[in-house]
Amino acid sequence: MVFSSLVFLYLFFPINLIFYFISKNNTYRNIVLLCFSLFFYAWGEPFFILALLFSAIVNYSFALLIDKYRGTFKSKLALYAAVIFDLLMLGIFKYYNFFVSNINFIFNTKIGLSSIGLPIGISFYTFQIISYVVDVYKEEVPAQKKFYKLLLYMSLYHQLIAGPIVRYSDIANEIDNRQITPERFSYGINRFIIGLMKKVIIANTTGKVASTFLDGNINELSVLGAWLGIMMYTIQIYFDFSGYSCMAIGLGRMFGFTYKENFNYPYIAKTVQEFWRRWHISLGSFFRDYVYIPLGGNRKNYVRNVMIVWMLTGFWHGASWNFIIWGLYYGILLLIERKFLSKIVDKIPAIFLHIYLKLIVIIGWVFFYFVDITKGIQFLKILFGFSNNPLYDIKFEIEFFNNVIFLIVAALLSTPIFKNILKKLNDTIPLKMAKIVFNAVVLLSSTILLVGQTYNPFLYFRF
Amino acid sequence: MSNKDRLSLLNIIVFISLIYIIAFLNITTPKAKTVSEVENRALAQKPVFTMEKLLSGEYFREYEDYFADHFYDRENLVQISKSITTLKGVKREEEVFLVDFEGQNVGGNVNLEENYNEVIPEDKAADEEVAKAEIEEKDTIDNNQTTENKTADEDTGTTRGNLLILNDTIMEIYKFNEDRAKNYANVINTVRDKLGENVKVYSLLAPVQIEFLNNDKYKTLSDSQYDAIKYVNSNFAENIIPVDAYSAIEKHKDEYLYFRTDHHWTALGAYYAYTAFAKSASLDVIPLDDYKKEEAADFLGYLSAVYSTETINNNPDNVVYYIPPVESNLQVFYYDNETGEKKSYRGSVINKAYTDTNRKYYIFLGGDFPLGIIKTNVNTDRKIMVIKDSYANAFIPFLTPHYSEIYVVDPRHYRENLINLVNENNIGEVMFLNYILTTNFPGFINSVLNLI
Repeated sequence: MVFSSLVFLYLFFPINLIFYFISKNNTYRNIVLLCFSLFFYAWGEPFFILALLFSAIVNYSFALLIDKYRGTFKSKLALYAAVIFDLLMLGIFKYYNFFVSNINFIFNTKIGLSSIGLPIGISFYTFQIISYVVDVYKEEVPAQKKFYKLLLYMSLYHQLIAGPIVRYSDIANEIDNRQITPERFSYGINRFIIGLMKKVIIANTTGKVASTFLDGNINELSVLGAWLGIMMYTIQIYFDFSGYSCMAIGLGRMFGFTYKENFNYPYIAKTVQEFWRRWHISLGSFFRDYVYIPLGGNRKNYVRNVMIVWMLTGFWHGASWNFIIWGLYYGILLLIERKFLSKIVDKIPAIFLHIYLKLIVIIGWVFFYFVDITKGIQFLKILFGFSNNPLYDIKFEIEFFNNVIFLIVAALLSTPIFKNILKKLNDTIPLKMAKIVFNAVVLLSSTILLVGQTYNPFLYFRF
Repeated sequence: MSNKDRLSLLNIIVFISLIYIIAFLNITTPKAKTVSEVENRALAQKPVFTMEKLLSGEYFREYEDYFADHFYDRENLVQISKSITTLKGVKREEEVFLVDFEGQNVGGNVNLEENYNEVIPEDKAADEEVAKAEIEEKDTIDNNQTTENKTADEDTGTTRGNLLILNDTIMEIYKFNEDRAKNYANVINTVRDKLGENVKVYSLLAPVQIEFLNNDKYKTLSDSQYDAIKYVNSNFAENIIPVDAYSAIEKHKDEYLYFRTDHHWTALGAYYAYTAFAKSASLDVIPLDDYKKEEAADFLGYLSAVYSTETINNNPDNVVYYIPPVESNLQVFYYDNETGEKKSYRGSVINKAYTDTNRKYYIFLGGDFPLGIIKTNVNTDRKIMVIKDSYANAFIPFLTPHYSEIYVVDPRHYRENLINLVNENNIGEVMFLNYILTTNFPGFINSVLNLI
């Protein structure tokens, strides 16, 4: 199930709210949330709930062992065992086929591929649980003695499927003790609605346009068509992902949890380094705290550390080479920036930096989008005029005029311009009233669009 | 309570009320509807609970579809959603849209068979003919599915189609594919080789309307069908007679030759193609005035189900049909879905049972079927077999004054040997009649190959 679905909005969520708020104390509420979270997860793949439960049991036990043998070698052993177990789970479910097909390709072997499929959200919950055992080992958080509470942390449906990667330390207190005030709940609604708008109104619509350019035969694209397509995708991926994070944060607030922000207007960044401080923040900080710094960070083997972290960042996004290349691409750019750009960055007019970063990001999305690397390179050639594709075609013209208003609005929404305007207006009563109306309008129009997306004409006239 | 808290409460009340009101409306919406007429498909039904379905996740997936398909006031909301979507661009003089759609050979319609079981509206079942034809059609679609699934694996390249919507007209865009075109010609050559020397073989390829679009700018979206037809013809063996329907249609291109909301030609378009065929087959053309002209208004064709605008909905097509001046009777043969047993029923060349339905192109022959045998009261020895797609349906009524027997074969659904059918019945002429896009679908070619 996803938040941006009718069945979530008008069945799961209202029932969840009722059960939650008729429960009189925090223990019952936790149990309600846990049940609903497990059901939420089981909705798509009931089988994989076992993988989640297994992972929770193992990590719960190892964390207790870490605690029990604290100060001894056994404690460290338990930590290693837990982390290795977690990585193995991820490896088996997510990367097995990637490794096998590469081995088959290199050594000409015929090892069979697995058909188990990918448990949804495994990349997110595995990282969450790794952060937990590591933090327990580092004594940053106490080990959770109650299994169901740890399971609740791991399976909490707000962030289970698409992040943000919430650290146990962030919500450890709130599991036991949380206050829901009208103000917090109301804030949660505002965030949820913004997220819904990002996902349903913007991402879904841009995605459709992007795919008409990117999924067809790219040799028939015009240069401008290729640009329009990749720009639409650039918008789509940001609004899709940050919209989901926003909804997660909003839902968290409604139920008394505070999750950290995951996006901070990444497209207004001026450097790659800044971009990654604004994009998928919880992932970046995970790699910083649990990989980069343990490897030695800036002090030892700096270049190696950067490249390892960025290779892994890419690989985390998907089990194929294009994601690895996408990650390494950012690693190399960060090294270059640090070596050269950092010294002169203050002297370069901001506009050039904005153009520079946007080009970097767009090229990055080309690698990200095309799993087939040769196709990605071909697409880049088209973008930059190293192909025989025409500059302009009618398809571009039609799609441009049919989407131009939307494109401009979406581009503006990816900057803090509206937020800053609202700030200047202060939080006056009319403004707050306007927000309430806005929420209702967005909720209704998102619902209408979601219903519109169920329009699915049956086509059988192909001959 | 402070103002701040009051406003927060108000925000909560508005949001929560909306969620619960809509949820309530939804729960109380009757879920009896089984068919969406607009979308031409069965709506998802409440899934039957089984442990197996639950464990595979299928139960909840089906439930989600069911929930969405029966959402409160769904059809109106779909319409509103369409108008919201038009806000994203600027209005220009012409309303132009490009639409990519996926044909049936790509995912999405995996439940075709199940869907179709439901599409027989009960009120129509009374009319036996229609009901049978619908069963037939269902069968037809099943077969399509199998053929197409086969070919989808072989080549997924052309499974996406493209439409150009220009004001009140929806057009299929044609892209030339040399290998496919050659393949199409070769298959007909192969059939030719297996038939006796004395059997005449014709090929008629019908162009689609974008070729004659009176707008050079948008016309360039599509490849030249003139060249494509020429290319296919040039690959034919010498003893295959190409019928030049193209020129006949082009001469009359300003007339109402194609539906604006459907991918088919009108009976008038088919008539001009028939005049070209008459020339090739040495028939005396029967003037259109000899036919009784009738019409069924308000036809919104298949393409308008893919994409429609207000302009299109406000400008439906008219289906004009011409009743032949000769007596004929059509026997339709189909295969029972479960047993595979060959069955038949009586159809008619012009089937008026469809004039009040939303499938008005079915007026012609009553739709597609594996085999139809038309016997006429015309005093002649000439017999013809037409191996065809649905374009032939509007065309075949014009053949009735010239032949004593017409064998209508849809190779996608027919399961027996074509050559035997020709020999056993002493058929002297065989015509392949398809529209140009069929040359791009390997499924059609493969199904012909399976029958020889």
